[in-house]
Amino acid sequence: MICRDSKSALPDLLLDPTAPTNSAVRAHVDSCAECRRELATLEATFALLDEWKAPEPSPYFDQKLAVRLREEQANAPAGWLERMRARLLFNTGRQFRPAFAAALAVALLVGGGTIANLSQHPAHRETSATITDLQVFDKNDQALQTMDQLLQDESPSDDNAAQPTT
Amino acid sequence: MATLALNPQLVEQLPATAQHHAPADFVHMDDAAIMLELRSGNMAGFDYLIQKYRKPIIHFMYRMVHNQAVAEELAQEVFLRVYRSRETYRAEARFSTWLYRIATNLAVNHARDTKQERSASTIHLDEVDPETGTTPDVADSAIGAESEMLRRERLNAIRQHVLALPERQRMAVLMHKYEGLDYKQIGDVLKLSESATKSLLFRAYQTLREKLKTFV
Repeated sequence: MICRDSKSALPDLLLDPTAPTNSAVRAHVDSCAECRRELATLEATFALLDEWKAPEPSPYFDQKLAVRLREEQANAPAGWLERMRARLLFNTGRQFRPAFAAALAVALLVGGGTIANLSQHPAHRETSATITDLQVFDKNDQALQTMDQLLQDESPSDDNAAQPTT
Repeated sequence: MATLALNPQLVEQLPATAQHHAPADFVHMDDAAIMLELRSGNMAGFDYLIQKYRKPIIHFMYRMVHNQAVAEELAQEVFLRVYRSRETYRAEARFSTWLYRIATNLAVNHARDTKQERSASTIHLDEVDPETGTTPDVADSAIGAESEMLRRERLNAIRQHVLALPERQRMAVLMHKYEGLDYKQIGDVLKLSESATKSLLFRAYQTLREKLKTFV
């Protein structure tokens, strides 16, 4: 571990010195005088911050809150708008994830469909079943005509044979 | 312990509601589950949550606004918001995270609303310090007067430098150092990733170390 990585991990080490994830930092700090000094000053700053104590709650806190709660209970329940506002302000936003996912899926479908439609070239257009059938009929017709012609080519000898002799 | 079960009708209905728990049960229950009980009208659960969190929230507010009366008023507002949101509460995050998010929003709004009113901290010689309970003595021949002055100066410096941190760093330090929230919880409150929270805290502690090095 290098000193730069060690310094960024020092607050972790300070708060949870025995955590297994901090063993590498601890090993580095033990072997590096500079980082050891850094840790010592951080420890001293942390200890210093402990001096800032907050006063105990006043004895009237509960009473005042009770009065305000009583007023709250007497009030009409919060409207839909107020509830939505509270939800937007104070929640994690996780309940909106399905809606976002659905919106994203729709956007992808619409966007993807549009792109697919734009990229489609007329030359690659697939022929319909009707056209295929007509092409088959056409081919069949050509085949029949060829067969007729072949039969006609064979028939003259027969015709000649059939002609009465004079 | 003072009770806040205010509506007698609700209390009367408690035995009839099978899923409601007795106050003693709340110790073993998850906060989110207690909130769900509040949704179904069990005010005893709400009393328990208030008793559990009022001190940390008041302390958090006090360090944000540095005035006990305002801090308590804001803390009351936090619990009122919780009560108002009982219908829409969803156990997506830990209850304490949600509570600190409400507290943080209120404290930040208060700080913004009163920005003009606040001025540089002034020491009034005739006013009692709410934290130490003493009046500033600038010249006192009593033994220990000098060390007391130094202590007060140190405390003032800590306060000033923590309050002078950028808003998010300040909130992160207050939650981390004084309220014992972990990186994930702080990240959830401030809507930051764990690594971003860590880096925010690191910057804040580095700044504080620099600013307070004369006292270390």
